[in-house]
Amino acid sequence: MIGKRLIGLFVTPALAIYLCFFLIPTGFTFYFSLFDWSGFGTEAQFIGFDNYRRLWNDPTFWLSFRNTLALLFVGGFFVFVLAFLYTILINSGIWGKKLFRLVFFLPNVVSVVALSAMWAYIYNPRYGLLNTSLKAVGLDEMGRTLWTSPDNIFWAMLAALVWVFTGFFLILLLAGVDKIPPDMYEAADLEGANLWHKFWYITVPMIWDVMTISFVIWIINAVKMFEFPFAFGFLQVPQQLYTLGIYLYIMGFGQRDPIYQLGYATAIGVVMLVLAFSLIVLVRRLMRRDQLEF
Amino acid sequence: MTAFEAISLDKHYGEFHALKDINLSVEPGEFIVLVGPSGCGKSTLMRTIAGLEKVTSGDLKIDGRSVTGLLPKERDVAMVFQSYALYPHMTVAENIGFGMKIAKRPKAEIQEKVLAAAKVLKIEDYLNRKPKALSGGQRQRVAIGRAIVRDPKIFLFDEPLSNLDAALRVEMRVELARLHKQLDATMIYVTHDQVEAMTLADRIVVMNGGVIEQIGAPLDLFNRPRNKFVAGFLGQPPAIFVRLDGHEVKGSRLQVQFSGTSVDLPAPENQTGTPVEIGLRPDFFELDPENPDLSPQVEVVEQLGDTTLLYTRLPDGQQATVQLPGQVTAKSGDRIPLRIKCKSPLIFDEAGRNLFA
Repeated sequence: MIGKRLIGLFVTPALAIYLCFFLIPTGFTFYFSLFDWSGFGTEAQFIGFDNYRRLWNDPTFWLSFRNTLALLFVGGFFVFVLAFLYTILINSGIWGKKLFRLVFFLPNVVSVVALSAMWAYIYNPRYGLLNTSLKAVGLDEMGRTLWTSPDNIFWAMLAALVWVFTGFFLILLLAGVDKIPPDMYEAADLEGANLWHKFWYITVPMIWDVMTISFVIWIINAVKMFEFPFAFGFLQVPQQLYTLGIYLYIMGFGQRDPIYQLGYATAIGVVMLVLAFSLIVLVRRLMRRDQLEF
Repeated sequence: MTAFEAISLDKHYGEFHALKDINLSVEPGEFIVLVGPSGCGKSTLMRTIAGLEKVTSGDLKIDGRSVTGLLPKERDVAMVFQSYALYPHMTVAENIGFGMKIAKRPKAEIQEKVLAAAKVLKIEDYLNRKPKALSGGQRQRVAIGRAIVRDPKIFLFDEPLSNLDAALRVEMRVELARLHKQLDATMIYVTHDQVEAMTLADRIVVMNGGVIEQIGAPLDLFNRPRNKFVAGFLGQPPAIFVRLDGHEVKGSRLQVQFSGTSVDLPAPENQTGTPVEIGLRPDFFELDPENPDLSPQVEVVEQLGDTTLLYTRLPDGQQATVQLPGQVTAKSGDRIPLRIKCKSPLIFDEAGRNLFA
């Protein structure tokens, strides 16, 4: 029997790290959000919840918030629909399973800036791959679309983002599928199950834990999404691409006029934290199931 | 009409020839057991019958209809897997009714059939439990229940008892025999356990290296194995094979000499091969201090209560297992006087063929 003191001894370093690098900074974030502070100097002025009141009335914040939600739900919808679709296809016994995994995962090992540059070429209105292809198949009207115009740029970015993230979640889901014993599917084959039956009645329930963790990872990624839309906007990120992460960065570190507003930026950070935390709790609560044994 | 027929079946995995010219015909209501050592092709044959593996050449017929090119679901067979393959997230009732659910059968019909199957298998009290709350034997019954509700033309069992402990295995073996009688269904059963094969089968198919060595009723195979492999495979502890020093045919008698002794047997009928080896089953020996044929040295003694197993060494150095009725007092190093009484003679020619088959 391990003594309580020994347990304490082993747990203390982990708790200390968690405390120092997570709980205290989180507490400080909330604390700083109650100040009007540039982040430099000592002239921080306590203003209570004024930063939050200001956020409530800040159209750019709401634009960023809406974009983040769109990214989270619309992007998430397509990421998982595609990831599940590819899971069904790759798991159906087609040739080249490993090759397809590699191909789908590749965007995740390439620098975000390089990916953005590639998509900039794809979306280029004159010589871009998309419009050239559309014109080549006779869709001339659609082939003249300005994909990076203010009206379209967010959705164009989202499509590219879905392409990048689908591979990552496909790998997670496939890892879950791989642990399902093959005779489960064989038994289903004998019972007359088609691809959809096998996916819905066997794969989904049996990778439920992997799906839960995938959704949680997506929520975390989506709420703090920064680098891809930022790089997509190149030097001057248009407001249509603002996410909460980008707006936080711009208010805290990127805007010189008026001066850096770290207090305001940390209030955005707190909103992000609350949003992510509530969604994660919700997802975990909704997806709670008994542990499977097989 | 035969319930099942395999005609010149071949299966290759790349270079590996898993099934070689398999010909098998199963009558309706028959319980056939495919038996053989690991890698002999018995499970592959079963999987080709189920449609889970494609055949390289040959034809499979169920009820006279060729099913070679059909999908598993179109063959009307049900299979019980070694691992049971129960869906852990479904209750017992959902597991049993899964096939009917995806076939969109009415709920009332599903419930009725699931309950009927559960009653046959005595699992009606567990219908709302998940598989993890069941014992190994109960899981096995659920897997069988899933097969029963489909009322298939053929039941396939892939080593269904191998995950159970010894006592439960005996119990389930009896249950399966009872079930076969009750359902009067055609069953094909794979096992590497020869006791299961001997006790359950109407006919046993002994396989080795992708070929069928012999097909026949359990006792026919035991008493008149076609070759050394079948003779050695059936029987526990297994028979031993001793090289003959010579043989002599005297009218209707055959006398064979080995290990410094000779045994007198009736001459085999219609056999042309030259005897070169004798097979001795453990129960071919009797204790006879007066007039022994052999006096091998005892190495290990196993007292089983009703019988005694003696692991001995013959004068020519070969090991022989001797099974004597009752509790024989012997210890390691003793020489034990034995008489040989070949209940069903096993004499093999150079090619390993049994002259008495």
